[in-house]
Amino acid sequence: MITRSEAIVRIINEDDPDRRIVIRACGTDNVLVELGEITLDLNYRARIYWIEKTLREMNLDGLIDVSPGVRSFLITFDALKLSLEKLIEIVIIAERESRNNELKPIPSRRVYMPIAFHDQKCLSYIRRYMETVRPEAPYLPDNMEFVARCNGLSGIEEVQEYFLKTEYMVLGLGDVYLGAPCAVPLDPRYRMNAPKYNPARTLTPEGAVGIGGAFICIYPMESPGGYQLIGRTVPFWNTWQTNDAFKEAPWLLRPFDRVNFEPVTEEELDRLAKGVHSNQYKFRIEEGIFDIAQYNEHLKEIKEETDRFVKQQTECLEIATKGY
Amino acid sequence: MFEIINPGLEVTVQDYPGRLGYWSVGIPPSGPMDPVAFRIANRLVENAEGAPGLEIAGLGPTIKFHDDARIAITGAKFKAKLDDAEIDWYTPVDVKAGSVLKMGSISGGGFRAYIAFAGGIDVPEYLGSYSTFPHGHFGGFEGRKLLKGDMVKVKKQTNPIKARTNLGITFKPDYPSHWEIGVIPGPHESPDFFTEAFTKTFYSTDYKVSYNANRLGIRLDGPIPEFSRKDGGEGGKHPSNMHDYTYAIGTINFSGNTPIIITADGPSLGGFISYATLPTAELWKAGQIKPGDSIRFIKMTHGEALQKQKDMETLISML
Repeated sequence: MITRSEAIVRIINEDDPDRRIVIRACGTDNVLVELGEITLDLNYRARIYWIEKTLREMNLDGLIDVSPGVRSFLITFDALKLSLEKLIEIVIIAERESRNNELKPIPSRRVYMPIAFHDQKCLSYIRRYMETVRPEAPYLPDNMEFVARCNGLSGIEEVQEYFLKTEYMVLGLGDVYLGAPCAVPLDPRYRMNAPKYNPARTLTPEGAVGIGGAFICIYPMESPGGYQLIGRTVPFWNTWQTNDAFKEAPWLLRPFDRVNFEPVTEEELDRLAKGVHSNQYKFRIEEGIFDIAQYNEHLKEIKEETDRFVKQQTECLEIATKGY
Repeated sequence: MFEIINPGLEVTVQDYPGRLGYWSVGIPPSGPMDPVAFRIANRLVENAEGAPGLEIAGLGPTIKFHDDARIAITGAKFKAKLDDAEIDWYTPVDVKAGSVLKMGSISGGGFRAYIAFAGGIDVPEYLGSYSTFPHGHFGGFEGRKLLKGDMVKVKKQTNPIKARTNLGITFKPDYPSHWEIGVIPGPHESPDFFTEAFTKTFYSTDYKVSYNANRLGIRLDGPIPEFSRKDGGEGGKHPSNMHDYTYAIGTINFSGNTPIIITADGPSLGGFISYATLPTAELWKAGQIKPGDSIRFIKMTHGEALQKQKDMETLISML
């Protein structure tokens, strides 16, 4: 149930938890629109895709941005040009119109990225965290060993194996900054889970790949962060658009891209990384679609295996995170 | 052209309203932390109110002018001398080539001053804006704050937009050390996430501005929030954890137990809960509060906040 409060501007479809839309106030020029229940469900994200498309195609005067997250999107607008009341009515129309599309395939590229697992650079940043922030925690001294314990896996090698068994779907960009993807493992049988740092790292190396909750992120620049570090990839922000993969924009990834990681050694990764800005490195990108209806069917087929892994995970998480 | 002789603490080129339309990719708007003082400075030298100018935080720079210039300084008062004379705030000043503007520490309330140059600062545009985003190494002057030895160009003013220069007191705020800042409840002020007792606490506490306050965010010291959930569910172990969602600039975010006001260079997407949000009309205050100041948050409705914003726009349009 959603308790009404001053923070809630409007609730739509209140009696149907799956169809419920909660519009929350965020100052004068933003509203946060949340879909459905508080759970990770790609169907919500697919609906957001169509609502966002409808809103953007309306070319509304005063609409500044639509920024999706896992199960919500923020609308940034100029309240002096577009009134809040009118915007809400428009969101309701857009939601209704997009229902006709919500099970249709969504454009989705497959983007290949190299990864060097358990690399020296990430390990040195973890050591620095231990020296300066927190010397002991369940996730120290080795984040990957911790991820293994959280998921009932035998060790670093099995974490790598699981990590490579699935594609990662980009749900939102900007965590943290500059096109950094919040992505989710598409195959729930290999969706590892590990809580984030507490407190956060003050520094994370550029290109670091981390696991936080059920999600992964890649850090586009040296920055604070809380995800459990498992390796590093190549730069995916290109300010001056010198690499062919950045012809349209300085960021590489888009929502609904499926990232596929390919393992390389750390030496190889550093060599490839140097080639991004000089356009020596060619990203392999394949156009394609994401068929949510088919995906839903697939989830049903693998439900038994998924449930088994989730059960193992739940038991292990409890033990692995003692002393958090 | 002017030269940075001493860079001060943090001098950056900003424009208004900044780099809009890229929040969904994680590119912040940047722009002046106190847009009101910034826009007034531009109007005083008959620029369009958004023209690129300087933002000066905490400790002022020393600037040598290599050409004649017309400037206006607004915002927080710093100790400052133009050659050997005092220089006035909120009034256009003609500066001769060879003159040196020496700014020191802040002499009263507030944290940021703005210098507008007739014609505007000449830097390349990046993604539709001249504002600096130092963490991304782009925008403004070489994507960074100004350093000793930088030679910064000023555009020739071609079409001055006539403006009033004898501003009344309304336009020259005295910044306090104890602030009342209006906020709109939300996105997550709700018994579903926070106890009702905490709502009382939140609006009756004098939060203290921590030393960890900058263009990314302003950390506050205050009571530990009381959450009504024991954890963040799928979002994480701590009750402040949420599924990743997009923050609004001006939102008061609880990262764990610490409140942070997300400001102009702040992060867009993240997994921490947000209690209430500064409306656009109050955002400038986040640019003027300084470490050690205290803040009392006052609840506002969307309608009240919008009216306040309209009033402000009317006043600025009269310049």
